Amino acid sequence: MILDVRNISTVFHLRRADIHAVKDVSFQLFKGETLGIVGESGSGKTVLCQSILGLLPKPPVKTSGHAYFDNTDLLDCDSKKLRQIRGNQISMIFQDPSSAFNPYLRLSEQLIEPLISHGYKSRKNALEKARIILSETKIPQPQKRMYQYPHEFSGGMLQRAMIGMALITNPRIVIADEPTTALDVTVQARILQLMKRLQNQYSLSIIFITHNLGIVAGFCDRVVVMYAGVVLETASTADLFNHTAHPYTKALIKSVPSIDNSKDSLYMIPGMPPDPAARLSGCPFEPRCRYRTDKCLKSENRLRETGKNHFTSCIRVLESELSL
Amino acid sequence: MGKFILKRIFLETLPSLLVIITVTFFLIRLAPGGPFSSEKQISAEVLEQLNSHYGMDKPLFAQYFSYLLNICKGDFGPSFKYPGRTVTELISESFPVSLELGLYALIFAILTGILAGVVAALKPGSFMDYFTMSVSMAGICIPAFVLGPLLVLVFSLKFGWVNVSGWNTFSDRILPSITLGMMYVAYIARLTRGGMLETMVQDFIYTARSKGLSETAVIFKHALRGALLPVISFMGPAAAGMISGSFVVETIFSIPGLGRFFVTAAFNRDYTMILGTVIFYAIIIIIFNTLVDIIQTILNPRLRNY
Repeated sequence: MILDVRNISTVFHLRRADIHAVKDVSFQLFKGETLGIVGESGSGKTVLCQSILGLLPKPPVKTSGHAYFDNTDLLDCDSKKLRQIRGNQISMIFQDPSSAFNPYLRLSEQLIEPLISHGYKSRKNALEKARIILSETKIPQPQKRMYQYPHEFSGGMLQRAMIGMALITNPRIVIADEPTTALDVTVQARILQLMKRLQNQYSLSIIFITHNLGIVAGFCDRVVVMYAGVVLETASTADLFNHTAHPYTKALIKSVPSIDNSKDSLYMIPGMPPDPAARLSGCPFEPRCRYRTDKCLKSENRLRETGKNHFTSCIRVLESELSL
Repeated sequence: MGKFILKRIFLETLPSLLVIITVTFFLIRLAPGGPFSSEKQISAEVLEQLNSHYGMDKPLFAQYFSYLLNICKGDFGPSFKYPGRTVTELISESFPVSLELGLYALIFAILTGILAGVVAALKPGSFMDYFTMSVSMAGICIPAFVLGPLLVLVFSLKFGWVNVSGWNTFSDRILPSITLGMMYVAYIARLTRGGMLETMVQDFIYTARSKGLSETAVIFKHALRGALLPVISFMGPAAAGMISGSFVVETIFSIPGLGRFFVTAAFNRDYTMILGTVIFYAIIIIIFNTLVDIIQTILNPRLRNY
């Protein structure tokens, strides 16, 4: 195990209300694996990962819980120690490459920053490393391109450069926050291939945040399904699709458009996700769930094992009343 | 760059100067009175002689074209009010003083303003934010003719650290520079704060933090550059205003600068001096706006494809 996240809760104390964006989430990440975190927009995936790295502004954000990385609790160490880990041991890849790069600085300058800020002395060697990492990510003419500005690149090229920037310090974990959402489908596939190849080359662990179940199926080893700030199900990718153990996961899988049922209208989960300011008890998916019963709101929403390394919070599945 | 500057001069600068000169030339002739009207009556013969000496007996359009012809040769004419002195002499004597004062005020305004703006933006809604912003609001509201005497009262009369007025030692430069720069400090601080608040929530700031950069590096390397773009647009005309002299500040501290001529020339209907100062000011404005464009191109690579 390389990262052990335990009971993280993140609250935004805003003037009008307290927003509970992440509620008591735990998961583990193992060496060399790709962990997918899936959920709709607003389910707390991004906030969860930013909480782990302490990237959210506090105040107004308050995070509780633990995230153990090498016996260091990332949520309980001073900012200097955290800075040494950020970008060095754990790096991030962001969703929209065109806004994640500073438009006023050359790519080379931004690429070497993770090295320079972690005590790398020689600028010349850092630039050479940047050139090598850009050629690893298959950017043509890296020697020339790296001295250009972000607006001179296409979105796909920039995302390649960002992957390079995340890997330049040889980190152990990469957190990729919807890295392909802003890109064309054809470019998406190439970016995923690139990540897979570099993952093997650098024996990386990847946390892959996405709302795209297709990507999960093809890319992730294990999956955490989030909804309204809580985890509803975790399983290996195969189990998640073959032995789905939560009605929400089932509904998500059903919502993926497929060529077989294209004549019918697309499936849509009825209703809306709950207001994040409201405090809920029981299962947060209850109002939208077609299998709901009276006890869904009465029982505590907690993950329990339903198969080997397969956890769900659905009380009806756990009590074998329901098979999906 | 050379092509850009040539284009600027021939397509923008010269046409606007011509418009400015023409409008000013005819506008001041519309104002009642003239350079030779004063309290004491002068005889008609003397007035006629004066008018013919300065070429004012010719038709207005003839005067206009001969004026244009002269300034093409670099001759801005004699001053009507200071006999025997040319406009060029008067401006070139007083401008260096205003330039020096303006540069000190500019440096003071930029350093203090940017620092105050950054400090305020780091914790919006905090005590430091309200403190710096209310001080800078006061800076906008308090006019120079109040601030100047107030500074003199405290630092010259009470503590005796600097002279009340004059323009001899370096310490004479301090109070006038602060008085002149204070209003700009306030504007720069507010613009910097706004720019910083906007930039600090951009995605690339999160990227910079996620790379493990220190907060100082995030602010000064990543945020400040973008945040300063609005400040720099403002600084063009502001800097031109500062270095071309201020009537109020120069009068308070008895400084022999250019600022007073803007006012006295107009009062005296010193036609050539009015035109001279207007043209001079216009040229400075144009130079500074061009500088602003160049600096913005340096700061913002996305503007570089002209």
